[in-house]
Amino acid sequence: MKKIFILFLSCFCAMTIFAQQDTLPPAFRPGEHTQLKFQTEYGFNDVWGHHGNFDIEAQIPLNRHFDLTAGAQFSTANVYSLHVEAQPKFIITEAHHRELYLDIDAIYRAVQRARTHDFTWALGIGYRRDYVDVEVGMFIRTMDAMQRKVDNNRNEMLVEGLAAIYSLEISCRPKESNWNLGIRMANFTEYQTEHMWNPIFSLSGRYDPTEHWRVNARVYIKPAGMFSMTASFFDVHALVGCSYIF
Amino acid sequence: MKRSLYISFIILATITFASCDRIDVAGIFNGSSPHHDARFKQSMEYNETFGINESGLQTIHATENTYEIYWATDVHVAGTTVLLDSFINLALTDYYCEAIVFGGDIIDAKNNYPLFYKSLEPAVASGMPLFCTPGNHDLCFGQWKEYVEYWKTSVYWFQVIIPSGEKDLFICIDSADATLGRAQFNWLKDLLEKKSKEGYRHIIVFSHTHMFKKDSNNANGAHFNTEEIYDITSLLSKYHVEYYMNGHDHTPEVTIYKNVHYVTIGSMKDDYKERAAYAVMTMFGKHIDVSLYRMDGEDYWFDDESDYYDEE
Repeated sequence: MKKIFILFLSCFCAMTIFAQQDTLPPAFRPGEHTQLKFQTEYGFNDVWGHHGNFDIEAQIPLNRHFDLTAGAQFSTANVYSLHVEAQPKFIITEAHHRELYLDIDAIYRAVQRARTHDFTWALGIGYRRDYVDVEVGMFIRTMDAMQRKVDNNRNEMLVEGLAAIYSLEISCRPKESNWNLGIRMANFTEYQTEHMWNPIFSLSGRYDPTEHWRVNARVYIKPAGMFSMTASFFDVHALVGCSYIF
Repeated sequence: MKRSLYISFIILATITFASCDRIDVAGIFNGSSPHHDARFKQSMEYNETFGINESGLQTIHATENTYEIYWATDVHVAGTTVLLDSFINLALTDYYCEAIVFGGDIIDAKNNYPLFYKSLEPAVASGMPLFCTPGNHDLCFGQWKEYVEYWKTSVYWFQVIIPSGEKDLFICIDSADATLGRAQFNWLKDLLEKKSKEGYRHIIVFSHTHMFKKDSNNANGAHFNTEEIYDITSLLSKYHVEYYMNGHDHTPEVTIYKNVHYVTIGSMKDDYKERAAYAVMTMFGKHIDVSLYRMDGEDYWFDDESDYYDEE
């Protein structure tokens, strides 16, 4: 027991010293350097079963006040997605990186397995600072069959009503740190948007081993029927990848 | 001081909700009844025992070539059954009605099953076939036991044969968890594949959870997740299912997607009074007419342009 206690104390001290060191000179500030991200995902859900995804994404800060992100995802479940995000930012204070931002999103999903494709358009407003990132907004989605083959196809393209998006992310360390862990509750990710009562929970981490490389990892879980008081497991994804920072 | 008050409020609110008979707080994190796969397994065991997967739960021989199915959902019985009793009476006095189907959320909270079942007694006594698919409220507080004690199975099919020899297929699925789960999805797929070769005139699916929501009212609980919406809608379309009748959301709405009609008829709970509604599906020849009626006797009418039911 004593040995375990000493070991635990040693680990805690080492982490504290490590944390003090790595917060001093920021390798880079997020949103100020172009990043190219490659990620692989393992996923399992009740409908698609086991599947894998490969994501590629470029994050391009056009200037201090405007980020542009574009990405694509290829899934072995026979689903292909594109994502474009524009993010104008309004810096409140440099300290703690406080800023307000607008989030303008467009997602296209070609669900080849179901001969369906959809567009999602979202507009959100967010506030972030060290440790916290919160966003609310609205989205609208259109769904359509890839090939219209039936004669009396009234209203073949479906337009869903405006619905809410939300996201709350809490990190354990400041943005400048060379590693971080965060938890997030939201109803959207880069390549999917769910209705407001279908939340997605994620645990994410990153580590910057060098000035130009970043390692990313994330696990997210999507339950079914949560706010209908009959929650059960639906979907899990584990993602690992790296970013090159220019 | 402020923080203590805040924490006290959270604790008090949690205790209040947890102790009331309406909000199943535990169910938000983990449903208190068996999950969809377990319920499906139990239903299949029952179906296997009584040959329901092969011959259906019931074969109804309609007296006329034109017949009706009465459909009510989200009755949410909570101490009173005024509208439910009226609805049962309307169905029993309609010569063309061959069956009554309930789309889940038949009760609102704990201890209401006996009251709901008591209202069914006149229908049972007259021999009117009754069917049901479970909703999320029916399973809160671990009430699956009470549900299955009466209805026995939550996943099954039945058919109606008309005097001319044509037959219609009705499939009841369990979407109370806002998911079918893989096993039930595969069962549905296999059933549709098999039945589509047997010459059914119409195929209808009854379920609780809605697939789409075109208005911006998100007040009534979880959808299916998008992955499941893609696959289920594709499946229903592939096998020419004509109607997917659902409840859960309490705002009437019709969506036609890939040639399948997704119909949300609204709630029939007593609190809704004049807004409460039920549907009558009339099957005649190659056509199905779905009419939505308010409990105060007024009709809703279906607006082709907006796809919403409006009050006439």
